[in-house]
Amino acid sequence: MSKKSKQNPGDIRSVLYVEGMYCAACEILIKKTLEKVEGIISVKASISDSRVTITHHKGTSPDLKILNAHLKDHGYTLQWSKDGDSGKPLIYFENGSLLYNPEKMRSFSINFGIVALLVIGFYLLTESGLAARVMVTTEAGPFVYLLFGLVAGASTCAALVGGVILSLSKSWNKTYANTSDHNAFKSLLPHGMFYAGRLVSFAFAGGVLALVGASITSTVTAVAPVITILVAGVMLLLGLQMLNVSWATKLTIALPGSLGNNVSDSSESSHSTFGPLYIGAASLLLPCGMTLTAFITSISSGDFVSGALNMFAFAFGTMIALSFISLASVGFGSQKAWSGRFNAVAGVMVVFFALFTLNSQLDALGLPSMSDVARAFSPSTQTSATVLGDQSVQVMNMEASAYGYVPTSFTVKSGVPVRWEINNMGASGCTGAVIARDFFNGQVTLKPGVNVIEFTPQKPGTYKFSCWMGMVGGVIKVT
Amino acid sequence: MDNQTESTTYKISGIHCNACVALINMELEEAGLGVITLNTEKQTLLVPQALSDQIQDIRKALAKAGEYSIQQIS
Repeated sequence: MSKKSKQNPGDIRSVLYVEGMYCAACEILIKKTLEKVEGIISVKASISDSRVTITHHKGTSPDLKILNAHLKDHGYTLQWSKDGDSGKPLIYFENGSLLYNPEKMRSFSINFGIVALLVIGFYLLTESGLAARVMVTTEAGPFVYLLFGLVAGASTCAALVGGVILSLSKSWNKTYANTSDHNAFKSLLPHGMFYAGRLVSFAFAGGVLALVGASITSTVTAVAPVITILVAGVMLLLGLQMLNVSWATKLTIALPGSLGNNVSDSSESSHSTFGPLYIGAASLLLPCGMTLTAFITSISSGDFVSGALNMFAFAFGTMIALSFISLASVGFGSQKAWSGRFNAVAGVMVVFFALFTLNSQLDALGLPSMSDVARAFSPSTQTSATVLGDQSVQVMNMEASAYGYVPTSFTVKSGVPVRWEINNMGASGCTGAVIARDFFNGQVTLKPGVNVIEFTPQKPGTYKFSCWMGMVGGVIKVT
Repeated sequence: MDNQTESTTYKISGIHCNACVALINMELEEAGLGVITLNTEKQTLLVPQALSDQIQDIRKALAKAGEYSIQQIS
């Protein structure tokens, strides 16, 4: 028997998975057997998750062959992962050669393929201009709002609300379904509560906003970027937690007071609480582009019942599309073989959605973003503004559609008034209003036909303009 | 005493699986009581006469292994 050395702060813990452990005696037997192995400081075996945590000195790594040789007579087999992976990283150096772990490479390739397909699908749907075909107007009824919600749920709202659902699904699966009498109803219960809360809050808010009227429209749009950035930040953290990024898993997000107690997923009593209901209700504060468009259009409906019906229909439409995300999270989350892959793919998607949303808001606020880098490498669409007659006015001509703006780059002179003529050829959703915080306050909602915005650029530099949610935009260079 | 008058037989309770057996054997061995025989079929411990004064050590070793107890039957 080897002499055990003292535990030091720098010691490393390795987690392995064990086959053949069925009872409390197994836990003790594995612990006692492995603690006799040279180099191992302490061992903890857990029957609940079939894991063995081995503490060893920094710079050493448990030799699986030696450990299994000790356990062989007792009928246990240790492995680095549940699927028997070797534990080596995806790509590594060994004996001067660059090698890859075939199991990890296979898993990575599948996950990468799934993520790529989802991202491409999301991009195509967002860029397809499908929303332009389902435009909500002040005269639109609940059916149009339902269709608009359906499109929103599959595009812009999939990024924000879908991202939130994905990021919470792991803890919901654990809290509501990880019981001895596991069943589909319990798995879907939190998602059902989420959508119930969402439907009620949308209907109520739609009704109240219709009563209050358009006076609060500017307030809603002014605070939207701030709320969105906060939500995207939380999503980013949750996504990194799903990907088991160590520093992110150490951070917890606490909600204040009794709400925190109800939403907590770690509480013993959380099976009977209504956390997802509250989160669903609060999801109306997640300002995905089309949601705000629907709200603002619905404001003009004039009475409580019409406003409530319109927004209920819109929320119902988003629910149909978003429920696919819910079903996927429940279906894959409950199957051990797929839950790991689902968490990896969902984690990447949540991080992608969070970064996509953050980038959009940085554009909306006129701040530096990844769009600047993309723009620097994209083919130039720069257009100099036409200088009219006596050189007292510069004219910028731009076309706006559901797809975006053309062109996306202008050059003008400082000190000379600019007349920005925007031809609205079917802009909708985000593209339906333009912001350029460096030149004018608030947003300019585009009416059908030619819209004129006038301003005078004072200082040379490069300034951003975008649709009001920052999804698409461009730059104005002042020389 | 058993019929060979060299050992005492104890009924052991608390054994449920092979892990229990391995654990008990391991603890007895570590306590220097490896000559004690554990009969898993009859769930008995056969303690040689020479160790009859070490019954407390045997109980300690069993307690270290888990929730096992012994009762003399012959």
